[in-house]
Amino acid sequence: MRSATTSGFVALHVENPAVEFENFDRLVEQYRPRVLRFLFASLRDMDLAESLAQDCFWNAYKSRSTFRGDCSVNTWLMRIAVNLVRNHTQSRRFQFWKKIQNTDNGEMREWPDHSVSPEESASIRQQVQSVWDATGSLSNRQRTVFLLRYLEDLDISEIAQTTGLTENSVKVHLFRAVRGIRKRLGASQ
Amino acid sequence: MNRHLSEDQIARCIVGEADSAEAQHARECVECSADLDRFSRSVALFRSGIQKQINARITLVPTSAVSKPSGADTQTPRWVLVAAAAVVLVVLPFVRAGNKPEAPPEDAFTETDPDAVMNRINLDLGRTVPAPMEPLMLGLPDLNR
Repeated sequence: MRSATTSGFVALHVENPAVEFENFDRLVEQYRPRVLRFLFASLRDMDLAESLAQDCFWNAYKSRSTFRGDCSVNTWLMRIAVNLVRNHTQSRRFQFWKKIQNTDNGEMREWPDHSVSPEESASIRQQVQSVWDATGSLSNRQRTVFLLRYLEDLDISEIAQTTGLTENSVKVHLFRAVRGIRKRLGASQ
Repeated sequence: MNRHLSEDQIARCIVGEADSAEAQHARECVECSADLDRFSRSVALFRSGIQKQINARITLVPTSAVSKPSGADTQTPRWVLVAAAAVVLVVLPFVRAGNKPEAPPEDAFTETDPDAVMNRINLDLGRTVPAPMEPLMLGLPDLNR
């Protein structure tokens, strides 16, 4: 059993994959925040993210027998989530509403942080909103790679496993995403 | 490297693809390292902001409430249930009719004793009206009186 490099989670390459799914409710409870976080940042709609998170776990449950344990459960779930996002964003209905709304950015909801001054809180909110807007301007693939790297803290090889891209391709998309976001941040500041 | 890092070089430093000269400059140059720190801080705040929203959502909608599959996945079983119910409603009457045991006629002979059989035959022959009509006859006035 060797550990993956994913931080914040004990992501293990399991010897007996079936053990991971013995208590599926616990698995959902453990991974739901991560899956939901990625889906929300990708789709920018919490209700839609919640719906796809359910689909993600449902698909995982249905195909649990195909999990061979050659990657962590987290990577496996993220792979399912990435596919769901890709399928959804390519759907005609999504394209239609995106066109109608003429924006795919949305807004980050405000959150009260009583540990900082109102001025600092406003500054933080502006920075968060800037990055949020900047990620919205990326292509789907660049955004996915960026979020997996900087939101989910996956390393390059895990991102390659999750997205099905080669490691070199992941690096290229990540580089372009960072450059694009910096450009947007520079323009907004 | 005397000049500051270009945008591409900064981006390479961020994604961990900088060469040794670029990495050394990023460490030593106050302006470039501050630039990298600003970006790291922005991304960290972004991550923290999203995490707060997710935490709020998890609190609002606990995991136990979302353990069932979404509507899209339950549509097919629902249709199957509706179809199955329709089939049951259509087929059930035929099944019940097919399984229903035939009731013996009321006047069927069940006695095995020969005397009892003869008494029953005599009783039937002595009737003025058929047995099913006897209740009706009770309501009529007696003409023989």
